[in-house]
Amino acid sequence: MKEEVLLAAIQRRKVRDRWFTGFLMGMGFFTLLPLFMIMIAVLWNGWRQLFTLSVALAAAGTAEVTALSLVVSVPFGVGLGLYLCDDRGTATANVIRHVANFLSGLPSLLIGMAVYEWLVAPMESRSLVAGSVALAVMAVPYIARETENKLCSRTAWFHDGALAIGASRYQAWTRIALPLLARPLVAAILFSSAHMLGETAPLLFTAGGGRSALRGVFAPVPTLQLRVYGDALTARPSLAGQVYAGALGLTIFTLVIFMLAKWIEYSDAR
Amino acid sequence: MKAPRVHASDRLFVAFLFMFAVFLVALFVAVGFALFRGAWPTLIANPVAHLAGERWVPAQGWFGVAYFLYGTLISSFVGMVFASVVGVGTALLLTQFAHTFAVKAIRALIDVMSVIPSVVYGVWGLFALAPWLRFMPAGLMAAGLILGVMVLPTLIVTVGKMMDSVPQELVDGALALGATRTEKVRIIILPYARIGIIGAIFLCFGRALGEAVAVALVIGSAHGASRSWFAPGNTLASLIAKQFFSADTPLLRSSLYEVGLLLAFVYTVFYIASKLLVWRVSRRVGAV
Repeated sequence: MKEEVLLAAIQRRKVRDRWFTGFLMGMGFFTLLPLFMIMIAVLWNGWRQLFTLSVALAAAGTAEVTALSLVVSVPFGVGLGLYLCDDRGTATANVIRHVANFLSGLPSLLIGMAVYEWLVAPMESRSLVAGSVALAVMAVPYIARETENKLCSRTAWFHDGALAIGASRYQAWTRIALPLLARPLVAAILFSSAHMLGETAPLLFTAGGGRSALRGVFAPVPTLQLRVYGDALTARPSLAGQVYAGALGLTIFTLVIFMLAKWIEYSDAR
Repeated sequence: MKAPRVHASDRLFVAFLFMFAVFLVALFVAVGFALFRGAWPTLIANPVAHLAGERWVPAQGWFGVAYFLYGTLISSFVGMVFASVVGVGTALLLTQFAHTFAVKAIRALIDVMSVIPSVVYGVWGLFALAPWLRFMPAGLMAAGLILGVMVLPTLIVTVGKMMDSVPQELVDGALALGATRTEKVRIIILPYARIGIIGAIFLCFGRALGEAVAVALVIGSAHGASRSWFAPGNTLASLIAKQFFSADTPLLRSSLYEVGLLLAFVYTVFYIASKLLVWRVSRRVGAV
């Protein structure tokens, strides 16, 4: 009799375990559902108007803004990451890491407003430069954190070994650690570009708009993000196709860079 | 990892690296200073009274932001309730339940989710989700749902890290005593990682507060008409996103900068709260 009671209790616990597993699978399904819905909606509604001149121009503008911002943010981001790893454990480095974390989570809209105050208002025009600076301000902490993670976790032994046999710090970083990390760093920079492409708010007040192509770095530049946002804000169903085409272009752009980064990371890990 | 400075060049190199740290601090100060400078005209007059009140009618000189603060907190709260339930569940699934292949596949898809541009989420919410959910028109609730979906990837990764930090001895002990996986989660994982999970949720709350573009698209537009969660509204961020560039008077512009400062303040509160919680956990993990 007692055995039966025990067996029933075990059975109950097993059933409960199964129910809970099912519940968690449901949660996983809910997590991924929006992704599939977005992909389907954007592809289905956007592909017809994807290959138009205005989408191409805006895509070119997006590429210009992102590329120009990388010119600034990569050296500073990687340098900052090197500092954080080299000085790891000291109070100063901890403070700096907090500042970087704080900045990378700061509402990106505020960065756009700050750049507006510094660049757009004095120059009296939104411009490619201002948009790039806004994106760069966002990217520096991100790249720094990625660099630090990669540097400190993966090459610490090699780096310490180099120091132990008498290399200078400069040699240990530039001859040993950085060459080992060339690929992961490129991947990290691509990841951060993908994240920058996802940001619209910092461009809102800085990059400008218009529908023309590049007219120089001090002139407004059309970008996919702003075009999609501007058209969508009118909420006119007649513009929906156009909006979706822009969104599809932006998504493809982002995903291509993201996949490239993943591929580099994967090929490096092997 | 302090290496002895045996090389003369080390001093120079360390100074060179330190320059980047100084640069970051300068950047931080520059951003803060720019926001204060923008808000200066209204800040020196009477900062608190200027933004007090419920009505935002710039033409008549009313700049009350109480309603937008309410909208910001409510929409983020709705988003975080949704994201916490789904996100913690998914993180449990990934760290404790799923098989290796499923974990890899789901993680890869969550990574993809985290790079989808915010404006695409907004467009999807506006054109696809809103008509589909006819009972739920543009408003705080719709904005909250979009925010919840947007912070999910970050939340899952952060919460997953907290769950991974549970010492393996405890888990093994529970399993050795015959616990099912569910019991392991209930007795070991959740109690141990609880504070870290709450910290991660706070961090994502801070992220959700500042999201402007997607929210601006789905939230409709209203300046304090209704308190309903289902009516069009506005948040601090969406208000700035919509009105900043068309702001034609210096007074309105500097008021919007002041709204920006308020947003930065709310973000800072959540940031510090989350850091304190995570710090508590990491101190305890270090002690074990």
